Amino acid sequence: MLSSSSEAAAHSPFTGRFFAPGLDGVGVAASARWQHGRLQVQTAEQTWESEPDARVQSGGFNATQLALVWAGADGECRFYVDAGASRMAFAAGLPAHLTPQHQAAGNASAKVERRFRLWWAALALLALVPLLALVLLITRVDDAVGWLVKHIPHEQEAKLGDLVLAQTRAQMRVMESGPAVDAVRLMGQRLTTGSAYTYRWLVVDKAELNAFTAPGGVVVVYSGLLQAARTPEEAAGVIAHEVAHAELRHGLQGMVKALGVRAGAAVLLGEWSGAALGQAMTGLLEMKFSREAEEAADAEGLRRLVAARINPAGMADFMDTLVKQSPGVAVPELLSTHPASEGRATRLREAVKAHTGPWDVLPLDWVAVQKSLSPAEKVGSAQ
Amino acid sequence: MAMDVVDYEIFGSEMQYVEVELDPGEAAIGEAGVMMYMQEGITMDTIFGDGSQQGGFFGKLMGAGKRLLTGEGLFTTVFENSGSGKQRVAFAAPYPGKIVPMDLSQLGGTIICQKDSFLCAAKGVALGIAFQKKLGVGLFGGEGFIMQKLDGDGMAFVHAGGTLMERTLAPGETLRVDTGCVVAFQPTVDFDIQFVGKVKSAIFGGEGLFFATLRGPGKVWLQSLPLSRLANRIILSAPAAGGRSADQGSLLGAGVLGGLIGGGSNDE
Repeated sequence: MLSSSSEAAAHSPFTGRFFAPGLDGVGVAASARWQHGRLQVQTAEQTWESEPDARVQSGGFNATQLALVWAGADGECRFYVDAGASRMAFAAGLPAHLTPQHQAAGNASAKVERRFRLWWAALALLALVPLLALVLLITRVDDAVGWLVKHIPHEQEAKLGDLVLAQTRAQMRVMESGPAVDAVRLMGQRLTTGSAYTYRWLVVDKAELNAFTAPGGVVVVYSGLLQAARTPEEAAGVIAHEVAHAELRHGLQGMVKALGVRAGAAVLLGEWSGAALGQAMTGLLEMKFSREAEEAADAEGLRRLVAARINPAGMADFMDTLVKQSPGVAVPELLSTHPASEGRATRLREAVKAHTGPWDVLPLDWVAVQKSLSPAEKVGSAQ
Repeated sequence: MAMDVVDYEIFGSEMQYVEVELDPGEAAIGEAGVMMYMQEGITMDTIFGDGSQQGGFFGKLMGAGKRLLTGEGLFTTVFENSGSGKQRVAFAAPYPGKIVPMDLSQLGGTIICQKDSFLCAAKGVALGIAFQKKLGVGLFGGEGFIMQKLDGDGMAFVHAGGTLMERTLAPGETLRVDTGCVVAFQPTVDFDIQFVGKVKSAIFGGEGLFFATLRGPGKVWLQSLPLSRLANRIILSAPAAGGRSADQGSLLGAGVLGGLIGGGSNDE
């Protein structure tokens, strides 16, 4: 904002506070105007004039003050321009050579303002960090889990499986040998050729339509499921599905997720419970696999069945058996942990149709296998 | 804005009170809970804000919101002489110290003061909030971050703890002060909170990590005994209180790290 630098132009007066030697130390109210490039300051008693080497500077509280400073005969003089219209008049009459200083002064107070806002923003962010972390935890948990799981070696995973195995042995009657175990192992081995895991095949004596996988290649099939399967292919379908869970590391992902969410929540919410690990492991037994994981396991299981030349129709048949459970009957365990739906069965059926064999006949005496199991009360009947 | 002109008299030496004389129709505003006595013709009214806003409801709300930030009440008490003849109302200082009368018209119309120091003023003086924006690390300084701004041209009274020191700084003259000891200063004074950078002295010496640097020109008012120091001493020597020492300006006591180390700094 340059004035028309006609030196004689009379500039409008403005007000401010004047500090000069001999005046009251708190400053005196004064008015001033530019004349011939110099500031004429008028106090109640006398008139002052600025020196040619006067400079513009900002200062005061929060650098909000604008002053013209010059060295008088007896000491420093400062004229602090009032805010508002006075600043405009001051700028209008400002000699050209002071313009850069005037701008610098404006920048100084703007900088203070900017930095202050930055501080506030940083402070607000700091207050929001736990909240943001929580939101991130909830929304990005799958990505984080995927990344973590990628970095867990298979041996470590197998150790986790051992823990689950030990727990299973403690809680249920595990059949260590017999036709049923042999049958499960035979089918399982056909489905897991070339796997990175050393699989452990278990059959537990429990009249439930259920099977589950623990991290590191532990597959547990309930005797109730073997009883309900009409053909070995139907059982193989379930085993393939469980193997797929193991190969896709769904169990580990679930565990990391459960642990991570709990630990994250504990850290963020400040309620660290030492039982998080135990809870994660027991939680694994009734882990609710997400729909996505189920469909991925269906597809992978199907692929493995086909690769092992086992007729995948059994898989779809068994699914139908599950879905068509008449109401009023206790929902089979496999359904609650492996959410089945009409849609899923239909999709599976369609996918199976695409494969036409030829299929191997599984070298199993299925009747003998079922007979070897404890004559459990018929699954699904009221208990 | 028509200011109410008040005559006043300050009584006492270490525990003071100020008696304000109001002409009919004049009024004074006081911080809640500092009124000591009043004569018959004075009526008390509690208003939203500080009574200086000319704006509508929204302006009042803004003013009140700012007051909330400085930790004061949303409401101000107005003492108006609605009788005939001069009447008096007195306001007492809340703790040992000195009451500082300030004629805002003499001081350029604005004073920045420590947020707890305002006592009372003529009606028409606006109480605003003024953040110390040249923060940097001063954010942890505790005191001196949120200040109060008094605007107007009437009388205002602020309270300084302990002994008062008034100092008029020449242009460029500087004074380094413990942040808690600043009571008030003119806006021409450059007020900067600086990190002293001697963590050792902050932890073991109990001196603040932060100092306020005041640079003239203008007048500054300092107090020898900030309320926080007094409270700190009292709590430290009161076994029943079991409070943590809250040393102004030191990280240990400012509540930032207080929980970590228990704030066992001694204040001297």
